[in-house]
Amino acid sequence: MKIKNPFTFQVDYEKDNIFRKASEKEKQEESFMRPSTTFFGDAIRRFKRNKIAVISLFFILFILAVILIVPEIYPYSYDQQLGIVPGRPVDASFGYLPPFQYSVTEQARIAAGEFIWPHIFGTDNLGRDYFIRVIMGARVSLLVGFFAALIVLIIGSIYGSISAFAGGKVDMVMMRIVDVIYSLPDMIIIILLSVVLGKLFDFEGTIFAEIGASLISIFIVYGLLYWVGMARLVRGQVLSIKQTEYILASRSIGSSPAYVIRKHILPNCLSVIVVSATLQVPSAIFTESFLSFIGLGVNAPMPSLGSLASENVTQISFRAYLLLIPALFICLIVLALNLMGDGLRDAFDPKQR
Amino acid sequence: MDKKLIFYILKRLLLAFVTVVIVITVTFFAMQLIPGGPFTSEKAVSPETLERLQAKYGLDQPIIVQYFRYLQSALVFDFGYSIKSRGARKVMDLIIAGFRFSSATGLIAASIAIVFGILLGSLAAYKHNTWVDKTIMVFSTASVAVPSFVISTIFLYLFCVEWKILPANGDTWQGFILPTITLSFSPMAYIIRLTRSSTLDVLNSDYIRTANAKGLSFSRVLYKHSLRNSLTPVITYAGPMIAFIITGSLVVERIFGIPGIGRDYVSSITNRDYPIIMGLTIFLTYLVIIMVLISDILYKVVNPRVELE
Repeated sequence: MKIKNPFTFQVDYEKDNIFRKASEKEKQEESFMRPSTTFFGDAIRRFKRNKIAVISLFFILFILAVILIVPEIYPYSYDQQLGIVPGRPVDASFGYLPPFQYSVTEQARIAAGEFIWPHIFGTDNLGRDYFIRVIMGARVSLLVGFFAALIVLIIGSIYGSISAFAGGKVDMVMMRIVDVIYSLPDMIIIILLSVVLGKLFDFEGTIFAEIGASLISIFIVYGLLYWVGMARLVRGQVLSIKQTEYILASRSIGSSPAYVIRKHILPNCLSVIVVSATLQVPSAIFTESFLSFIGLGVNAPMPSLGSLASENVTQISFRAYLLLIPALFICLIVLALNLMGDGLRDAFDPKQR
Repeated sequence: MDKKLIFYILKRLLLAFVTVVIVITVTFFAMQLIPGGPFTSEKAVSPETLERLQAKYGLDQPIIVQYFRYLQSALVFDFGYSIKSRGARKVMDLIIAGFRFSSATGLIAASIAIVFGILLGSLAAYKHNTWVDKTIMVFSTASVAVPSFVISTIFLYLFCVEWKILPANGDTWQGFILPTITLSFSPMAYIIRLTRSSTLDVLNSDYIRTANAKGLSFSRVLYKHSLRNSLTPVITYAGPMIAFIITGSLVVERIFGIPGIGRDYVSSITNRDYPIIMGLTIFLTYLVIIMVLISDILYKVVNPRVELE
């Protein structure tokens, strides 16, 4: 018979009944109730809880759908002067029609039993349908915003990450260049370049003729100036992520640098990049509308929200809606993009408030 | 003043100088790219006159000599003569004449933005998550989204045309009310956000809890401990704010008819008066750079915790 030594740590299996088979219930407790969430899954869940941001997102999607579809199916085009039909006398009653009103010729056609699509926002001084002009204007403005943000995103993130990964003297020189560009007064340079580019290049006959010299100069200036903010951001982010414990942990269990970059550094940078790019869109839309207002905007028949508002500033005491409609569009689009950007920032980085 | 701070200031001065030289260079060569010289006009000028004119203004020199000459004079605020205005007016005289009005408008606008921005921002933070906070935040979010030309046009219409309370032209002091308020809107919104978030940070910090725990009065905690720390981020915004106000003034001065440099700038763009465009570009760059420099240095002086690189 074994005598149990009182000082031993040996476990008595039978008595304590430790190593018994797990029951079915216990097995189930160990299984995953739901898959572990990823970084982006987490962010999306947090974003969904932010009602204002979600509403903004849907608003933007709605606007995008409208500006992409409506001009294709709408009966009028943005540069069509409705009063001028070849072979007929010019119908001056088309100019400055109030909303939902018809001109003399159209009234005659309606009387003859024809269906005429109403001018929802009326017409402008040249008898062009204002609704389609506003929609086209929104298309141009958003296009400017997205392209400018894209340029900033590409140049800024590449420059910033090269600077962060290179380190040392290369990093220092690259960052001094950024410092200098950062301290340039952007708006003044944009205006200067718009003036010069407008004179310098003859865009006649190319696709650039339609969008105009100052839009091109907005893109060039964004390419030259605005990427620096993004570059700084990306560099700072990469540097700070490189020093975190989880990178150290990942490297110490033997992950390759490529894996670390792909799995850890890139996703963590991506959120910052996306948020900052989202907030760049409204800023570009603002810049464009500002330039349009001081007479450096898109070329004549092509509308943008800024140029529509600026054309109709003089009409404020007679036909205020001509100014207020594009102004309202600018405000709503910029507001929605800002709120969505804020929501994205909060979703990706809940610690920072 | 320790060594590090002096070194930092010197570094920033050097950077500012480099920036100014770059702007002058860009402006000069950009203007060179434009076809047509300053003496191209509708009236035919005889070749001899043209030659003598060019010799007088040094335009017969090689371009690199012209560049260095321009650089030299632009650094000391000599931007040459306006080509479109009557008589030979010096660009710098035009700038000085306009700057009187612009600086007045800009300074008042900046003061409104700072005072009300800080007040509303700290109010929002103290009343965190109440309706006061929410109203202020809605106001500041909304006013960032409205372009300044829309605000000014609507103001002009309501106050000057519809209600006839204020004059539409900036000759008397009443004429400055609307433009300054319009100009102050977006910087104010930004300062509100800045102050609110920094005040919230400060209010949640340990030393405020300590100050409250040892029984200091509310006002003493506010002035002695909270405000000082929560206002430092606002200092950094002073530079960008000036840039913002300058940009805004281009529009606002045009709409309200203030004879300032903003209006001169826009009209010189439409007139293609290149020396004025160049001169004002460089002058405004000076202004922005100096303001950014001052605000950055002040920030380091006020906040010793900030690391100097």
